[in-house]
Amino acid sequence: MANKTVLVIDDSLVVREQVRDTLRAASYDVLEAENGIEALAHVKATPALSLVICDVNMPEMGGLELLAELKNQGLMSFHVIMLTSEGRPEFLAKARTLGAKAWMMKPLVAEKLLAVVQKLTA
Amino acid sequence: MTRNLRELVTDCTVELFRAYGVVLDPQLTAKGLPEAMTVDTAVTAVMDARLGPVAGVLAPTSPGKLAIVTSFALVAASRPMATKVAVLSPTSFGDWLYVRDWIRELMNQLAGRIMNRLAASGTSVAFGRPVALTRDAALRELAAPTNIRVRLGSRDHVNGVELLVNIPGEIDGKTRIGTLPPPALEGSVTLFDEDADGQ
Repeated sequence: MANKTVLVIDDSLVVREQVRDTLRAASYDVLEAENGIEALAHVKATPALSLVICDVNMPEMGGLELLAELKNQGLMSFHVIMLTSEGRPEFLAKARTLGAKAWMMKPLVAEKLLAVVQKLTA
Repeated sequence: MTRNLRELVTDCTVELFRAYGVVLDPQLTAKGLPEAMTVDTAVTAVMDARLGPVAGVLAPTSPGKLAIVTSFALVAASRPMATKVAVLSPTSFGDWLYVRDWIRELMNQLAGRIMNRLAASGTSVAFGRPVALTRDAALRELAAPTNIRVRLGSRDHVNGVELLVNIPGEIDGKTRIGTLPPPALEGSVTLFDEDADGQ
């Protein structure tokens, strides 16, 4: 059975590596993007995408803007986890309205991330 | 119960670095930070909301500024740096880019902690995008006026961390703020639709 593919979006190389290493160890294939614009290109080029993990504050296009674009363009055929240091309630509410399924607060806890990823890609 | 802004900033910084394996001690004063400002050893990042809008911010808030000055060695000793590579060298351009990426991310997370706690007590502030600075720019940051300046020493590193914070308004390090818990705890997971996911 083919591995499931996850797109990780964060402007930090180190964060992307942390997520990538966690997911690859659990047999997920991982794509990476530095911002929402790159992510949109990946989404359009990867019809079998299983999940997106996305930061909120990024250059060019942030996570909430990306969610809005995905929703407006009818591209959200997968679940989205927001992985961020942002914790204000209005941001969570906005992400929920735009279709995100989970909000994870940094620092990244690998076990928690993996549990949520496995739940949302089951 | 309230505490002051300096205590909040100090606690956030200590908590953040502890989460990544670096113990900072408010009882120790960071030593020799000006001496740390060599090309080889200094790592500095600043987040200044006045420099431009931050992608993802929902509404305008008071623009703040956050700057951190520390050493390459301290940042390289923090997780995941320390577990990812055996030795990071300040003479390696690739390693520098890696460390600078990480200090920007640390700044991002620190700003998040501070903003979340301030928001819970009714103070709305936004910091700009984290930018790593050159040595000369870092020295200017150290010399610039600031509301709050916190120096935190480390038992494991000669040069600890110096944090400079500017939050507009009639506030300073002694400003009392509430201690309501932050709306979302660091490391926590919120699932939006348990029912939908569980079925």
